[in-house]
Amino acid sequence: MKQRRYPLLFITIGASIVVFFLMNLTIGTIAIPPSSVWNILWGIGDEAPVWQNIIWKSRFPQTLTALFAGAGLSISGLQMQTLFRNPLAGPAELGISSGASLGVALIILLSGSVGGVALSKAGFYGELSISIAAIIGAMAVMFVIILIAQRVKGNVVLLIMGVMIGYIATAIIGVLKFFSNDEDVRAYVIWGLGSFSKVSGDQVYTFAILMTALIPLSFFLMKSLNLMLLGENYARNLGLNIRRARLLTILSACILTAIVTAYCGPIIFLGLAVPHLCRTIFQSSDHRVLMPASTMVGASLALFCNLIARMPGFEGALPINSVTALIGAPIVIFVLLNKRKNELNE
Amino acid sequence: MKKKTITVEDLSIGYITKRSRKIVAEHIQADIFSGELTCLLGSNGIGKSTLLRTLSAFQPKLAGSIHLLGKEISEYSEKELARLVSVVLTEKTSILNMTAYELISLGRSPYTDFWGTLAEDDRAIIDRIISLIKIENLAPRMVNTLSDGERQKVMISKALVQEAPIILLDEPTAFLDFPSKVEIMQLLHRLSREVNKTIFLSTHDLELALQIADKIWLIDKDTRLHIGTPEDLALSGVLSNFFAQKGIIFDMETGLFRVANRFNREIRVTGHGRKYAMVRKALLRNEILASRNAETPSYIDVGDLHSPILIGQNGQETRVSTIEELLDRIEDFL
Repeated sequence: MKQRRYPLLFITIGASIVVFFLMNLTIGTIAIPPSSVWNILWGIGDEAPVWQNIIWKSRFPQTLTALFAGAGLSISGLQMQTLFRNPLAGPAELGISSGASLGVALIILLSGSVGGVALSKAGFYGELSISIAAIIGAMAVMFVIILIAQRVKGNVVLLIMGVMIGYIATAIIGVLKFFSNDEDVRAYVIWGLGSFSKVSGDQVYTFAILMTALIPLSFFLMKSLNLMLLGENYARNLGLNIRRARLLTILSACILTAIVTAYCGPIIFLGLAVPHLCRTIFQSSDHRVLMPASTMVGASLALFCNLIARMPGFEGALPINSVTALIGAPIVIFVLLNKRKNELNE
Repeated sequence: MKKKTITVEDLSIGYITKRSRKIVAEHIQADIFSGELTCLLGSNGIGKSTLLRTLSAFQPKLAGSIHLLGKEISEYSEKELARLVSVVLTEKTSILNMTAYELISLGRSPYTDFWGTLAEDDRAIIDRIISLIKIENLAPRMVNTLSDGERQKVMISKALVQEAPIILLDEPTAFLDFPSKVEIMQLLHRLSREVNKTIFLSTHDLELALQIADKIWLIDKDTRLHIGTPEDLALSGVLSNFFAQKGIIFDMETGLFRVANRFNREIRVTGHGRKYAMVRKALLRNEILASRNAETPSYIDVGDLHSPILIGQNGQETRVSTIEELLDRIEDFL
């Protein structure tokens, strides 16, 4: 009975992705009629070059970024929540986002005060080096986390370690900010607000290809994640190599978060809220359902948030993180309250 | 059919940390048989869980050997062990949005493909176990809505669909109400007979274990292990020695334990049958020993089942209709 609802739900979510995608291309300060958007996308007809430019140089890359970033962060959040058996775990909780932030802070702030180069004004190479710094920062934290994961047994300890590493990173960033000039601090703060429009030009295709390759790879962990739901001992008794499964899950979640953060800055709440939303919509804990569901709902929700952020009148004014928080936080609250109600009904 | 499935030789169990080795018990020598229900008894902290964890390969042994079906435990791979030993643990896993059926089906994981898809015969096995445990009504329910007893049956079903010849259970009757305890123990006993499993469990429910278990493993205060049928252990005095402490008496006649009542007074009670036993029990609880041959001035005649109870002393007599009334009046006659 329940099984039969799944295809319908997936079709609905799929349709919402298409609709939000097209709306993202259509709506903005300059309204482009849907028919023209369609023509531009398929390269037919003679649409105004200005419109073509807006679509191909600005809106299409931004929309594509939102789509993949949403999917990647949601998968990462789902993996973390299952691994740590903690509903409040998310991509930020292991300190990965903080690691990326630290990398970016180091390069933006140090290049200014030590090297005398304003990276924020260095154009393409500036952007590229920021992305690389973010990935290096995230990977460094990930490396530390994996080292710790091999030493400690409990996942709670690991989670607390992640949070602590996050604090340390934030503290170092605070010190760096203090010694930097205002312009660099501003550049860093803007990066920290997160944005789907930072990825420019061909970089977006690199991002899209990376994510298209990595997201399906993370699906290979479905069976392991299902077993982890039972707790470590039961999982081990059912033949799961718990150490390897834990490492692979951390690796997968970290890489997804690191890449998204490198391209978009730290995007909050999507990774936390989407898995909860999926469990509620699909009434399931089965990762064979939740993984594809989180990918799709994550993409859809990110597109929706992006749409809100660039509604006419808001353009450029609303940082994406405000929108994701405004939409994500109520979702988490709703799900947790709902869960409490279920527990009371026991 | 009884077959030796687990052979333990000179086993030491405990924990190894960087600095030290903490030995919980050593020189354990024992066999566990299929088609039998074996209960592990012992006080808290004596090492019951450590032994179970070692037998299920969750933690390494410190010395000695454990042979499962003739092969050393450490030579099995994780995948092989999953098909050999299944466990039911004390930890209460809180899983939301999962039906009992889905939880049970995870027990098929060692046999399913890369994605964990259930094949036709996996489903057949799950259905067979569900009807064996008689939980058809629980299968579609969400796990978090089950009672502790129901949840335990689901976890036992999970262990059974794993199709391992050996099932280890860590205190499967803890947190259950009394009827559920009995039900679970009887279920496990039935399983050991019907599907010829080797069932080994730790428990604190002495009474039940002594009545239902085929074999008892008892770890005493000096971490010595005594093994035998409950009856043999009773006759050899191991049981009474072990529980020889204030407040518990091992009743040789029933082979069970009862609470020791101290008494400071005696009374002669005549009568027989159930009513006599009940009157005696009630008096004992009130620190009065009742016996047929006590030479006391006061006496009680319990009469037969429907007649009143007579209390008397020095020619004074009174009749009461319930034991409660008897207890209210007894002080006047002592």
